[in-house]
Amino acid sequence: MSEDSFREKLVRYLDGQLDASERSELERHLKKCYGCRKELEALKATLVLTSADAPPRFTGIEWQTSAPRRVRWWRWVWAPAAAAALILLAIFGGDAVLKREVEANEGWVVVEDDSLSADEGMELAVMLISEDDELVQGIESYEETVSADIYSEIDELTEEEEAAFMGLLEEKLQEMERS
Amino acid sequence: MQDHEVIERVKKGDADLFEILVRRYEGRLFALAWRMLHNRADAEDAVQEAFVKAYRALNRFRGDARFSTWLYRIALNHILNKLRKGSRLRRADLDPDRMESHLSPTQALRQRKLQLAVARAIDELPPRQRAIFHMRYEEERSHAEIAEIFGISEGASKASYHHAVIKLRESLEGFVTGSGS
Repeated sequence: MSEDSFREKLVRYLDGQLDASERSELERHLKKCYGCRKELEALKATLVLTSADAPPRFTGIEWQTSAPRRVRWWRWVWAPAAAAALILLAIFGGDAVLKREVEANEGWVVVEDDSLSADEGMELAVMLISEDDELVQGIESYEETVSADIYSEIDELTEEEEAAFMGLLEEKLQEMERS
Repeated sequence: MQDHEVIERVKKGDADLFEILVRRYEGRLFALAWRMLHNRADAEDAVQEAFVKAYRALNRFRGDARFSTWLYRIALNHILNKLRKGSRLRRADLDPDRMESHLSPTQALRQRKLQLAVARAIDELPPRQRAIFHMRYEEERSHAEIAEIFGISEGASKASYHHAVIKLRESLEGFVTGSGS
């Protein structure tokens, strides 16, 4: 077994992820192998060392509860054509995500809600994007390829973009209704 | 009072009770944010933001997941977004609170060197791996919980954690004695 794969086995052992037979096989090996015992100790020591990065003293945040802002909100936000996709989020009354559609090769994000601020809407969109593994991978590979930060590019649509998007949206909605 | 009871009462109008949840989770969130951002002000902001967002979105929380899972998701999205935007410009604060006063200058210097090396090694992990390492090793969360927070498989959580430990072992080689088989 290579040094790398043995090291990985030791990590899985420390993480309690070996099954009973793998564990006893490893423990038998450790009894007779000084080098592996030493590596196991080094891995344990590495984990202990990470405590040197303990957070500083924290006394808590200031918190004052205020009524959440409720504003009529309608805003288009746009993510550039990452490997992203068309994401349609229609959220009505905060009850449920009614529609969510992802389609390759488009880069639009639209959030509709009647009780979110623009920032909250954006955060929600980003959150939903982040929950989609395939999409995240697409975005990551986009970022690797073009070395750009797509999140900093997300912005409100210009009138022209909005008009273009409205057309696209209507088309999608009609397709959904038909299907 | 359990999280879900607090949430129900806040939803019914006892808004002030939300502070119970703030005090219950702020320390853990701060430790996570610190690990991810290595800057006190940014970490405190991240905690504040997470609670503000959670509070505003509380009506959408329907208890499908645990509150802490949902809160972590909100916090991590904020933190990861911040990291993507490159806001983390200041690394590993020199925080006077953290300097051990009983150490001699030489010991303090050695301690500081180690602290910076560890912070740097952790910073070199990809952000999601860094968060998974923290939640598994420091918070002792199960891989199932971590997987739920990130919306990934348990296998992916385990693989991320194991890779993180191996990378840290390699990065901190100079501080640890030992050799391979």
